[in-house]
Amino acid sequence: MRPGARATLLVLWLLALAGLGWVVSQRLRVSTDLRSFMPAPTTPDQRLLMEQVGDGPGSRLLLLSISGAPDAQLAGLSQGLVKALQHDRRYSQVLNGNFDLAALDSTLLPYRYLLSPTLDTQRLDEAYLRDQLQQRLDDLSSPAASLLKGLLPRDPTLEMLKLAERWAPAKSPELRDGVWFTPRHEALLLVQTLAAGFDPGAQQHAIDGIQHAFHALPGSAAAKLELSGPGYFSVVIGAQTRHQADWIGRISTVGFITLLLLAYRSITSLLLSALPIASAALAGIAALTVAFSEVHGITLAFGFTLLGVAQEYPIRVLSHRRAGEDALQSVRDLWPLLLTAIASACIAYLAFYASGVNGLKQLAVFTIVGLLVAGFSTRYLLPYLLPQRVRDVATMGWLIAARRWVDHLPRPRWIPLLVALAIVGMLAWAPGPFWQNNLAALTPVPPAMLRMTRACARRWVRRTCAICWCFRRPPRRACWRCRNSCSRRLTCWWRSMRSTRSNCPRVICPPSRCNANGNSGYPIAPRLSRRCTELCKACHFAPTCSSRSLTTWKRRVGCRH
Amino acid sequence: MVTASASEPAVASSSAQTLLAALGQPAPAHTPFAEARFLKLLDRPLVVSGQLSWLGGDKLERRVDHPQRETATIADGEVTQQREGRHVRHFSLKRAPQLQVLLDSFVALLSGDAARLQQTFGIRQTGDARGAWTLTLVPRDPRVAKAVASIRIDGVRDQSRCMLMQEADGDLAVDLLGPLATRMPAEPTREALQTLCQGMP
Repeated sequence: MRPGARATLLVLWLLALAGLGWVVSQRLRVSTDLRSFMPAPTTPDQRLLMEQVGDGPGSRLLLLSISGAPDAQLAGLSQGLVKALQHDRRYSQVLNGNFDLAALDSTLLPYRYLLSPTLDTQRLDEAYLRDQLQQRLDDLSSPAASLLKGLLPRDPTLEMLKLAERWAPAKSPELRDGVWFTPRHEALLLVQTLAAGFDPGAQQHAIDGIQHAFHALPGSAAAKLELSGPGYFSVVIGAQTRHQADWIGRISTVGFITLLLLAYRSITSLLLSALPIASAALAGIAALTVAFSEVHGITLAFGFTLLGVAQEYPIRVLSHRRAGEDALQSVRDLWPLLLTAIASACIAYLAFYASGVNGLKQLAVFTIVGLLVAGFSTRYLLPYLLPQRVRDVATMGWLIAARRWVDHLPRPRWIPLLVALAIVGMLAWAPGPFWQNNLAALTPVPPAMLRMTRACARRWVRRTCAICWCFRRPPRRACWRCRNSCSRRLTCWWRSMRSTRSNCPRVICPPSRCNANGNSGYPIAPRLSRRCTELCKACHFAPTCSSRSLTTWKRRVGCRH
Repeated sequence: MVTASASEPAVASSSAQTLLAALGQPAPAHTPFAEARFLKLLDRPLVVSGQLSWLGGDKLERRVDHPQRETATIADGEVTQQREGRHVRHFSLKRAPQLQVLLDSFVALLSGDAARLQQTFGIRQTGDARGAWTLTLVPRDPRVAKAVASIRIDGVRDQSRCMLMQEADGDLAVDLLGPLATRMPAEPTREALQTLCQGMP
């Protein structure tokens, strides 16, 4: 090939790479949610598990402790942090023990009558309503007025307060200066992030926000903020893995380049042999951006490792070429072997696609496209660019000498025996159990950090939630009965468990659209409406108030009118 | 004792301090009260009457005799509410910023502690030659100010006659104190109480 044509080919290839690079930079959206590496849930149990693992309250909870200053200052920092974070959209809840009615999830308000036990035993009849309204009148003239005023129009029987009392844990951390404290003088906070627990990117964003807010508080320099929880772990694991991968990657890159330079002693060959692999990577990512809306970070990291196989193709071409042989001819001779290697690797990676796991599917698309591009560019583009002449390294004096030295090294027959004995010895005297059954041992989280979290969690609850009963989509009519019977059964079960000092189970009803007019304590809507208007009037509640309260009642209870 | 004229408000001046010092009483101090609350929730004001007591320190007792007996005690950062025939109710003072404000202003007024009052409120005093005066307290904490816009105390010489708590949402509580407590109208209006508070005894 003429030098001019070679230069044109090289420029065109580089331009194509630049174009691909531009497309990738425009379209690539990297996600970090680890759930895309888990199989898609198929049964209700699996769906529940996946929901809880990713978006469940447990996985989105960050435990914070502030220590290292006098209690009063820590309490101030705790309050300051709550104030700074509570209107941040990254966090759904920020709690430090300072009770506030606003801390109750407002999405529960519409379901207060379904959740609270009041109507299990009490009919919402005239006598009850009158008594309740009279009590609210008394409340309004008492010091508690300011506390309840906001809640009254929507919740005249104060069900939200009953729910708050019902759900308050039997044992909660000690309150000092209005905030949670441990006996070891650490102020405690709970932050629930909006981001899923196993999305390290989003969790990092949330944790940065907390740390930034904390350091912006006056007097925070003396105190120490510690974090824990699944989200924090995913960030720590991510950073640790990235650090190790970077470190290993740097060493192997330097080693690889040294090896190639040593073998071929030509920078041109080295740079040219990088072209197929660069094309493979860019084409792979471009294919991903076309096929998927988001590309997972792990797909990219792991995919590049798998794509390392493709580096072998140009190396084969360089190594198989004898001195004086034409590059194109050499590649033609090599092609059947190379094609077999490419095809077998592609078939192997195709298995990833069959797994049905989104992350692995992406991995398959990336590697297969990459391998094909690397293989075909090695066959149809690279030979035209390689230098006409190559030196055969086999004729070099020092290499022959080195070969001779290696050949003359002694080969004692007792070495395999010694190695086998050493292995048996290591198996016999290895510290720790021979067979590890503990799944938790697989976590890369440092053990000290895990211990701290367990200790931290123990300060809130004596026992972790062990049993979760879920009732899926009860029939519309049966919803009310189901809630009642499930509540009764749980109470029975709890009584039988009392000796174990477990916490009382909480009945949390799903926000199901159910018509509770049937067998419940609710009167039929028009009757309730009429009665309530009369009562409100008798108790001097302003008409605007009573009608507002009524419409919300009607709507929320599921009245048809 | 009141030096500033009605047209020149003084900002926490020495005259306000003199006034507050003169208002101070030794604990325990009791005063009858009648309260009318104008709430948007209700179509007519809520009227209660009873006795307010400062028991020393941060302890305040509010006993209601009419229309129904009820006692509320604020002590050690906790509010305890006792009502006839009902369960005793407790809640933390932290949950009700309005109450904290009430406690601060009351205790400071009754003990004559001008420094404490100044810590929590911006104070403005006006008065006239006949000895009638008005103290307007505006909470310094913006979080509290979101609930309580201002407190106005009207008095003559060394006696407080009225306390008006203007809440930020437009609701108003008017407390007639001392001898004025007996003069609560059967159907009070904001205007009538206003005249009553600012009139001379």
